[in-house]
Amino acid sequence: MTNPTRGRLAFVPPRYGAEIVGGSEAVMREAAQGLASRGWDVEILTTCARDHYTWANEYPAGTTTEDDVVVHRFPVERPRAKRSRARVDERIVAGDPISAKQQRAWLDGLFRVPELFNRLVVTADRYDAVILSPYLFWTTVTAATVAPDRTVVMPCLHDEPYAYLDVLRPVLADVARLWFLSEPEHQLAHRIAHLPAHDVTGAGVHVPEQYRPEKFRERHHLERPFILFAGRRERGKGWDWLGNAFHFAIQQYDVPFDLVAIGVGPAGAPVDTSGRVHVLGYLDHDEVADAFAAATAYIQPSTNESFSRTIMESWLAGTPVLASMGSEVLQWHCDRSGGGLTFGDEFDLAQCLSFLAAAPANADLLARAGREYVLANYRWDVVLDAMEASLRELTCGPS
Amino acid sequence: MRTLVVGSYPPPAQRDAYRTLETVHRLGARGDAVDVLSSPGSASELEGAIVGPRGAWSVLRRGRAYDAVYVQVEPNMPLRTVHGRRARVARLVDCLAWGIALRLVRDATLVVPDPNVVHRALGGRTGRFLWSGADRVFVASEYGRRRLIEEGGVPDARIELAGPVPGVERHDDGDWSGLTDAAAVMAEVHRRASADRRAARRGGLETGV
Repeated sequence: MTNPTRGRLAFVPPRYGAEIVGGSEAVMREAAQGLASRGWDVEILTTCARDHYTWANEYPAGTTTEDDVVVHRFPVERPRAKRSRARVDERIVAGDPISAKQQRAWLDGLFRVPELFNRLVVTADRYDAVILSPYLFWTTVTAATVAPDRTVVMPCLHDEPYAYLDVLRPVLADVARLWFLSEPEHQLAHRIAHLPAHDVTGAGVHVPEQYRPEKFRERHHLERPFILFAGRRERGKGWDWLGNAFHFAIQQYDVPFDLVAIGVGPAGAPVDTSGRVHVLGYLDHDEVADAFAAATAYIQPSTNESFSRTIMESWLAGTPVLASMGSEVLQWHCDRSGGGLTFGDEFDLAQCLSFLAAAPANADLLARAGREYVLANYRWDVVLDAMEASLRELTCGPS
Repeated sequence: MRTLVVGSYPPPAQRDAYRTLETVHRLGARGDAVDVLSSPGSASELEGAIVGPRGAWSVLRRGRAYDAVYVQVEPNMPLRTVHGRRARVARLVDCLAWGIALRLVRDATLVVPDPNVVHRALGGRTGRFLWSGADRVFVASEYGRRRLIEEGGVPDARIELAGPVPGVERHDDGDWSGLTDAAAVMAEVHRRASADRRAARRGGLETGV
């Protein structure tokens, strides 16, 4: 039951739904539901897209209610100049200077949702706060201009060439408030822009009621111990590197593990035929928890992380974490928790895997430290308290 | 057998240069008389262009005097990294030039430690012309093999999976059982990995990463 005294919120994620794979999308969805359960009147303004590779309109446009949250979906306008956007994208990644006009064209070239923008312009006065995430999509950049004095951006920033584009700087600099998921993300934002009021809220993770690792193994016919990869199988997420590094560890160190990947990947990606890599695809939430519990360790090779929910899910499941030291965020979590090992290259990774194989009891001690860290810092009730305090300050002024 | 190896070479001592060293070490171990062609300023016996069409011409001109030619595939070699409007043209020219050069020398081998470093994409008509120009393609992993077959159009029979060079053992001394906190484990991981990196530089481990 909503409590009208708490206020009205609009969340504007580029995609929304239980089956959407993506860290910022998951945090936005669970934060929206959590705040709704605490009495906030929450509405979602989002697109009809499900797949971030195609941005095709898969959900029907219109208004529905999902888990006490009103969801308004608007159709995506398909990109008009895919090739020229790809060329600009290559130049951005290479660090070439890009004109303001080209940056704008690059932003528009992925997808546009003019109906969503018009709806927000018309209805913005109804909301006490408009919450946007992540920083680099058309929805966030344009929606941030509608009611900047009531806009909160959760940028989910990581140190990548896009973060330094002029076209995206207003998202950090010209809104009312920012929510950061980790201290390294906060420090990175300070290096990029002059920031408005901000809080390091973190992101919450749900604590599963139970784990069924044996059931997971049986269902997927996994007989060997395995290392788990979860998320988007993309080069930017370290998947390609992991494929090579894992084979290196098998060939040169004879590590006894298989590699199991859950989540989504681009169509046409090469499939491993060594018999040691198992790509299981998208799994529902309960099964994801079971996958974490069944794994010998969870591996996070991505350097583009603003929080990394998956390492939290792994620690919660009592599974140690192997993380790329190329990500300040992952290194920060591992240092603070004592629950993870970090690797800089394939040699480090191979030795980490050797450790897991040789000393499983010691690895369990690391996982235990990680679980305590998550329970102390990233339960949803802790994170929602921080978000609510920030919203109260935005809507009522500093206490 | 007289063999020409083309690739980055120390100094500077960077990863691609070590990969060329690994190839030279491997060929030397089987008894080849190896010459290296690399960019001016390196420690190679032969200096010259190794990138783009000029590199292809250089390899064609010198390589015909050898029984076999090995070309290392690196982030900027043999294909140039070109962005913007000229990227497609550069890709077309480079693939054609190298595809022809590889066809005109004796026993051409492309060494592909990491297929991800190829600028733009492995496949396409131009990419397939390049890869199919080699008599043999060395890869370091099953992953690389699969990508070259599916995207590069290389026949499975022409791909060889490079195994480790024998002679140097990986670092695996002592046990891990006394290490109960992350900091201690990390210190030991880094100590052992450092020793392994040194072994790899001496040709003891094929990284493929």
